[in-house]
Amino acid sequence: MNKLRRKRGSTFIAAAMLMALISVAGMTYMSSASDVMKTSKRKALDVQMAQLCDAGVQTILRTYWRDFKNSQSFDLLDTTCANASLNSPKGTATGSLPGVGRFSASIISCVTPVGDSYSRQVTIRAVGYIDSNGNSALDSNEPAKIIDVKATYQLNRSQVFDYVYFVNNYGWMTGFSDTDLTMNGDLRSNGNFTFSNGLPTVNGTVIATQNEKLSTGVDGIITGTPVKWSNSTYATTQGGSYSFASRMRQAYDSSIHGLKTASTYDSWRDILFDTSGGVDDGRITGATLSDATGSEGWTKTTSSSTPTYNQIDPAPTQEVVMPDLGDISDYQTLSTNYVDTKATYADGTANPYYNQGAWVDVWNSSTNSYQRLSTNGNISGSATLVGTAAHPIKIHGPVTVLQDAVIKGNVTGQGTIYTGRNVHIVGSIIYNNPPDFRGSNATTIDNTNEKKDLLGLAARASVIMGNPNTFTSTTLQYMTPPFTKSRKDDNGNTIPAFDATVVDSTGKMKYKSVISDSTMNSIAEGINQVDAVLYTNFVGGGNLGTAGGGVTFNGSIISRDEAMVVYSLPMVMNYDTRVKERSLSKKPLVDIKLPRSPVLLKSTWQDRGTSYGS
Amino acid sequence: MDRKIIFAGILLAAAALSPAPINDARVKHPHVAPRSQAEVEKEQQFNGVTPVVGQVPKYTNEIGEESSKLHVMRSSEESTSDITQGSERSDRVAAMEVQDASKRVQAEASGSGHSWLVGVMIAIVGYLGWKAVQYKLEKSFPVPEGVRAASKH
Repeated sequence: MNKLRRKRGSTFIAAAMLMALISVAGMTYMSSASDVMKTSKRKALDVQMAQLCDAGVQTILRTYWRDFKNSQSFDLLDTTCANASLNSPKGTATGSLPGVGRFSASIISCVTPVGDSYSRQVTIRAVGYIDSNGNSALDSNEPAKIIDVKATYQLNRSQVFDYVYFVNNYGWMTGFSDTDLTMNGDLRSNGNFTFSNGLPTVNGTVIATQNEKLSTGVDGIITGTPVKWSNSTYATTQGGSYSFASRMRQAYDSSIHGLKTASTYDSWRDILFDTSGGVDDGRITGATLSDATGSEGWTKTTSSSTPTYNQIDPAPTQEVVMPDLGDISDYQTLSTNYVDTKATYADGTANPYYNQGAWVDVWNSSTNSYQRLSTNGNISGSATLVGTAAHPIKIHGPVTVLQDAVIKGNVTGQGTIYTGRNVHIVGSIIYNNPPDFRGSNATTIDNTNEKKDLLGLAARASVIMGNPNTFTSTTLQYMTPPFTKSRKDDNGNTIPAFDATVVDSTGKMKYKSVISDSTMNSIAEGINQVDAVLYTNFVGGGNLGTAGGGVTFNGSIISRDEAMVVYSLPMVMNYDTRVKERSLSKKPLVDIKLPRSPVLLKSTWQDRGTSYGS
Repeated sequence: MDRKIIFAGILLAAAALSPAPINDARVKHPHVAPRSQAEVEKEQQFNGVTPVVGQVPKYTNEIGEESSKLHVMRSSEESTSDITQGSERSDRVAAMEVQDASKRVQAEASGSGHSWLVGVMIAIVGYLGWKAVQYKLEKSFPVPEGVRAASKH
């Protein structure tokens, strides 16, 4: 009996132990499974809430970017986000991703970096949460995630100055043969680009861009394939007696500029013409035809030869945002505050203008002396500036003219004239000390050209060439609709096409000067040479070469609509490489304070933590 | 005379056969002869500043219209998005949410520090408890001296 009891007892103990083991194993498994489920749920929540945070961040960034891109000023940011902090968030936005959750985002810091008035560093805090009870508010028991993003709104050197010819609405060249027009530089349009009724020579890249904001030309297509010289033809031409050979950028020659894999090439790459389009160091180099269908190199050395193409990159081109001079007071401030901070040039010689402000001086033949037209870098009213070789216009730094600047003749110095209305070019503009881009040593060339004359002309309204009092419908047709294009801004507002014949608040039609007709008639003459970088918010155009002898541009023209009518041939445009940003230094050789373009840089993204609620 | 006539005829024929004469010298135009340097020097009497004509707008928008405001934002009614921005209520709510969530996450982050403390406390209490049980067992079932001594060898 006792034996049986002991047997039963031991069996019971074994069974109990087995049950206990199974229970422990089961509980362990259950615990593990519930942990996995909890972790999975949290991971899913994490991803969802990160997306919600990103939506909040993008909402804030986009809102201020749209305004910044249009206005190209920090006014809205500065006004809205002054003294923003975590205890006082500014510029808030709320919203939802349907079926996921909601977000709230605010700017918790907006800082102007010391010594850099062209930047605003913004910190955005975004909260993404799962609105489980659907009350459109964050409750204490709801999961939430916080992310901080730092971004910088910046007015940077504009890419538009990398081109000898940049037109926002429509790039066009009509009626030119390969010997009539030679473009030694890169060409770009933020819409279509058309060569018609003849094919000019383009020793550089041509870019068209798809642009749905334009009323026409939205496809971003290049029509017509221009003639392009080989590197050897270009070098031979530059080495001969070609007019303004010294103002042409050089053609790539591996014996001078090094192999493309060599370090020597780095100091040349930004300022060369290379007829062979390709990819080097991850970026497209050499001359290409680039549009909405991608980029390709091409060969067409004579007007009669059939072009051949080689595909380089299927990626479509992107819009390059033009600077906007809408608020002239920004440039008045720039002129007032300007001080030349370059104590010495790159070769070690002293800069005679070091520590000086902005000014422009002209010769007065009545008093036989120079007179300073500017006061603290500004001119209230309009300015007439006529220079001669003996008594050139002298300029230093950015000078702002409240209305028109009427200019012709010889110029010396380095600077930019900003105008609240038009720039009227009424005769050739000629540097007294022009640069020379020839030579075999990049440093020597740069050191010499750094000190040579350089002029920028930037108009809030238009750059008009020739005597506007003599313009006929031949010219005006390109300054009025339907040739000029309407478009939409980034807020969806329609911007009607520019019309030069409309009268503005001065009582003058937009293409005419506020300077009297008699003065304009007295000083206007044919334009054969323009040594300047021209920038205009609206139209760049007018009559050129009316005195015969052709026209040579040594600089650039950047405009929204282009309306140049050329009355004598040939026409040549040479890009001035001194205003191009170099890859190594991220700066141009000479900084004449040209207009800037807005950019948005996202710098850091930081997860500040997650609450999974209860 | 004849030669000039023939030359003019060739030019006319070439012009007729050529592409549309938009951007070249064949367009009828006002011919303005270039000035001599001496003439331009005389023109320097025009150098100077002319007073402001008419009004000078603070801003011009993208079509050159003058205004006191640079750009007109598209009205929010046109927006198809449910994103709310700019109203007093939404600003206040969003700002509160940003602040509240920040505080909550911060509090929970510091809360995880207390958990560690609790863990350490449990470990200490557990260790002391085990020691107490060990003591109790030794008291209840004393090991004979001989066995203790033998177990040491």
